[in-house]
Amino acid sequence: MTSSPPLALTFFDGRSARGIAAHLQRRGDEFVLLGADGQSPLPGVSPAAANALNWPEPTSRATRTLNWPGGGQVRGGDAAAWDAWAQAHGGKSGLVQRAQSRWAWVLVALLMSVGLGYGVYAWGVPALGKASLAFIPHSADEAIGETVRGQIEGRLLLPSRLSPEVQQRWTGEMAAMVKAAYAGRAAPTYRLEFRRSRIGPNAFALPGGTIVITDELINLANTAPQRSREMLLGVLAHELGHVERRHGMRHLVTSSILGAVSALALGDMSSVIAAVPAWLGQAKYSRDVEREADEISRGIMARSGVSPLGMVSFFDLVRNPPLAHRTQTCQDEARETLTQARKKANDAAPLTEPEVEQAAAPCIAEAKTAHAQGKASAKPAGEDLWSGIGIAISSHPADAERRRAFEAAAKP
Amino acid sequence: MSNEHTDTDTDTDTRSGRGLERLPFGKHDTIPVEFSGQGAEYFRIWIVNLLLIVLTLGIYLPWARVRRIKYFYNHTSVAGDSLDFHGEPRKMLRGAAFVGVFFLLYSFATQASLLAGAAAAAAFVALWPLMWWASMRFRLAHTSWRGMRFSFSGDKAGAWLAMGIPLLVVLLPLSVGNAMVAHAELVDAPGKAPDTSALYWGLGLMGVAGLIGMVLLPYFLFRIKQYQHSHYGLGQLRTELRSSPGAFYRPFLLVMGGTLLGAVASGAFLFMLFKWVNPFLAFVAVPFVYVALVILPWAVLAARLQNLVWTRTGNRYVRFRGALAPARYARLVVKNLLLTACTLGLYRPFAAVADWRARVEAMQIVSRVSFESLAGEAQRPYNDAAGEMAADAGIDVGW
Repeated sequence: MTSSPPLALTFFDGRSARGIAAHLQRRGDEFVLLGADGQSPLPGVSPAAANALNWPEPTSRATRTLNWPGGGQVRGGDAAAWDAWAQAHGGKSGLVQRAQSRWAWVLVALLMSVGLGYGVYAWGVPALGKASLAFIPHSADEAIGETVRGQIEGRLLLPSRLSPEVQQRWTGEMAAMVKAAYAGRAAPTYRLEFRRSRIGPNAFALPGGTIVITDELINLANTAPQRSREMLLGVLAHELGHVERRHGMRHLVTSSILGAVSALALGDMSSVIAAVPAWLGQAKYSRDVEREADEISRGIMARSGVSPLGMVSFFDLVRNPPLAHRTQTCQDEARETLTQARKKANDAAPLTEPEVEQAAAPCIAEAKTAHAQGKASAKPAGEDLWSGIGIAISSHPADAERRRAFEAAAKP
Repeated sequence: MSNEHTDTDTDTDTRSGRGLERLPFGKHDTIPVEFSGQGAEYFRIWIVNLLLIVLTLGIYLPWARVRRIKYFYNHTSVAGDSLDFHGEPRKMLRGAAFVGVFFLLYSFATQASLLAGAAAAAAFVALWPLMWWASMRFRLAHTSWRGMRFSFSGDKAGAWLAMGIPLLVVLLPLSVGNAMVAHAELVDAPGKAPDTSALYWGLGLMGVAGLIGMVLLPYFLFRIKQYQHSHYGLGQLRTELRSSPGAFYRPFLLVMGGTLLGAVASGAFLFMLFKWVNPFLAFVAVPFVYVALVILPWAVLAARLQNLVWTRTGNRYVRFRGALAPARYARLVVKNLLLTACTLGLYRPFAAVADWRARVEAMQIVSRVSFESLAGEAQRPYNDAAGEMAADAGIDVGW
């Protein structure tokens, strides 16, 4: 049995903080602690098997310590002497410790972490979100949809002012499109609802299958010189795409995962700061989901003979709405504001047209300037820059990109 | 410092005073606390940890936690000897799973219904002080210096009084109020007026609880720190926190006053920017205002509280001293935050090392007897089995 030369050190027995001068020696597969003389074993301290010891890593600290099985601690003197002795006599640290002490391995770990992290973010979490849908009953979507509706109904959404005939027309048009597009397969269950809104021309799908289209959007489409039918059906097909793939629920799952991971990683720094990457990160998921809904809508339109050029016109229309529509919006807003003021003042006098015209005048003047410049609204300086940054963090892909895709779909 | 105590003080460690080597009157030993960690070194541990956490989908978290704590403890030395951490990742995984499931159920219940939310809040108030207590026992019992384990001798009742009462008085009404607001029926159902009374009651409850919380926070913190710092031990040596609620109100009032002035000034600044210069610039300025009004005051308060708490901790032979310069520490916190944000998180390990160094090296230990003779006296009492269960539960919340 070969024995190593003894290494001088201090031993703490774990029962008191008083150090004992001792020596460490390797004897075959065991390490023993010897007394100050370097000859006789320390009384009451049993030898340790080589594989029972967790050797310290060669880091920047001045001394090395080694925990002794059964309690107590060995403290080395000079770190360099310890490292040389441990190197020569088999005091090896674990695989992970060795990996992290080499810069090359660290670089590999860094690249792999970044790659894996991005992979999880870009594919893993979305795939998990998609897969989780199989385990979430549809009734959960409906319950969440109803909660969301409860929060916006009466605040952002008001009862529609469209005539029943107009509502029936679009309900029928959509049903016909869905029937043609899903011939032979099960179409997603949806319900089309009409609302006047405080959020302008818009359409959206709630989790559970309710599609809401605003009066403003229908009015805007009707100001278009052509293809207003294809325009609205295109938008409805896009929303049906959200319903078919249960995007609302999927988004809830993916953004929850992202929030949890972000809170885990940065929560100890500040919860506000932890919310930032979660918020920025989920914008990509929204954009992906919008692209997917666009793609489904193109399929629906192709199968039901609705021209995708309607969507192309739609993007043009949104970018620069006709003056008549802008004027109408200004007047509606002025009328709404005046009515609210009357109600508050308990004034029963009816609104007069000149009164409305006067209140709407500044808005109309602004709209005229914006229309002349070919912009959606007369934004103050600086906001263009903001929207440039906004593309990167926006929840929707750029309109130009989406418009191009629909244009390409229209080509035979 | 310790001069304010006379020898008639009752200390738990009087019996051990026999073999102590008294220093001449007016002299004391000053033992620095040193930190030898390096950002680049910890970065390597951190990145390997990160990779393994991602690869194992989070299972590696407790192992990563142990490696991190070990790195910081091993590079922190007191009188030349470093601290060590002995937590077993396998046991900590169990504890973490328990805490994780608890929080998952809690957040689920608060969203489900008003009643479930209130029940979850009550369960939290009842259980959290126990988890906190188990966590302190675990952490101290698995931390060592010169081969000796530290101990935490506080009991469950004390934990409940220190942590449970603030939760009961502030957190319970806050979360019940929050649940009332979240579940208030506001839909205009046909033929039925929206019921707004639940909304107003909820908001009122939250307002009152928030106000009580704000007024009593320094007092609650005093009670919490009093409980924690009066039950630390190494062998038979115990610590005690000698302070008063008033001492805790001082830094809070100071920081709150400063923040209020800052809020008024930056509010006016943002308004002017928005109104007369450029609204876009006002948006850009918001993160900076956040740093000035939230991060800076928090850092100043943290430094002042650390100094307060440690300077008042000790026993008749040995005392701690906290001398963390608030302004300098606040600068460090802001620098860490900005660099971490600019490097998309890669600066995180360097920030952690710099923060720990600042906090630890601002501490000193002052001994009225020869420190080596005092340390030599530290002996493990033979009957120390109480609380072994809790120390073994593997619950380790917080840092």
